[in-house]
Amino acid sequence: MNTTVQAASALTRAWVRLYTARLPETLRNSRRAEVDADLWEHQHDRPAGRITAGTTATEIVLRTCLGLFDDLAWRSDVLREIRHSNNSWRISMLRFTSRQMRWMGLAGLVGGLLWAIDLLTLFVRRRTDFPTTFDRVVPVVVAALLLTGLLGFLTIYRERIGRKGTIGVSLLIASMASFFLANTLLAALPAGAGRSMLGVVLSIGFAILPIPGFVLIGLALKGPARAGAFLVAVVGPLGMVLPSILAKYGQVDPPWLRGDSPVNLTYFVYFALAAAWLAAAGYSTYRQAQRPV
Amino acid sequence: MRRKPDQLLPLEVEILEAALALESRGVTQFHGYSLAKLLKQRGDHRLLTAHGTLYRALHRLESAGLIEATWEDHQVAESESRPRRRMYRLLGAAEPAVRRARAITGSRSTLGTLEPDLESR
Repeated sequence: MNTTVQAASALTRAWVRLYTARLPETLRNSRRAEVDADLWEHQHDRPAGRITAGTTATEIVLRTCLGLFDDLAWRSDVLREIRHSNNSWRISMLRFTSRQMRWMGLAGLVGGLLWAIDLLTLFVRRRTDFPTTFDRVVPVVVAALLLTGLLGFLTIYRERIGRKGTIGVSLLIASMASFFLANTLLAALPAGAGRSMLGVVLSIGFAILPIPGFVLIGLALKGPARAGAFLVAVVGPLGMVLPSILAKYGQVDPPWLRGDSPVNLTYFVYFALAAAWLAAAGYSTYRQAQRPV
Repeated sequence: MRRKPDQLLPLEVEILEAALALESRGVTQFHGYSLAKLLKQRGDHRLLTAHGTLYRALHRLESAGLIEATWEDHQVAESESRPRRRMYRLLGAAEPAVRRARAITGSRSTLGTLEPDLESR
């Protein structure tokens, strides 16, 4: 291949790399590969003796220079389309690579399973030991993993779950963020009125937000994922009102529903179901990210 | 001023017309470079259409649902020792869209000016 043609092609490739930089992976790779193929065709489309290498090189440079404005306009079109599809959300699946998405899905899966295991160990651990290092570290890890997993789920399924689903997942993200802050920021604050107030707010955020969140997700999804989401949304409030209903109308106060009992069964079921749903969502994100775009 | 979403630019109309002419002769798919060459040979352009102009127009036509793009099979490209081509084909909405565009501008179609030897590439 003639050096002049190679230099002209290298110039074009450098420009394509520049104006496609930081664009979504699929679009970026597609445009680069398409121009590469075009350059190859152009370089090899030289009937013997009719077109010189110099002419081909000039044509390549001219084609690049004359298209500069359209290249930038195309980039602008693409970014506008992304912003439009993202609506208020700045994060798009297209800004993550498939590999990153798979890791986010795995984080969600591991986070959900770890949370479920942590809940199961409540039956064998003595709550009088609370708070142990285990009790402090595991929730932080679980919250961080689930936050990552939910972010992955939202970005990969945003188009499919629509506005309702997006709000629902956002509520779960807010809940997990409360969980994370409760186990990090709150633990670091000195005891006092401010700490107590913050503790109440974060507890409400963690326990209450998933209920409307799962309702909205259930409305946005279909099949087992919908059933699972509705189940979590029903069990959650049930656990909150059941003790008062039983105490008022049944005149009973079962120990497995008391707030100070080692394991409040309805809360246990609520969180266990939520953990299972989140693990499944992580697995689904992982599988979805594996599929070729 | 931004154009209307269903409004075709002159280059887009030319692309669709060229693709329709190819299709009428049994060539259902084309790639970027072959199209640039085809447009140049029709006499409307002295140079091959610029990369940016051509691929932006194809992107818009694809977004408008007038053409469809697919990547060529790996094996085909490997057997010819060249990069994979992104192949385009017309969709059903393309022909009515060209008619509408021509009706609006009042200009005649140039379908008959294609040179047969270009269709092989």
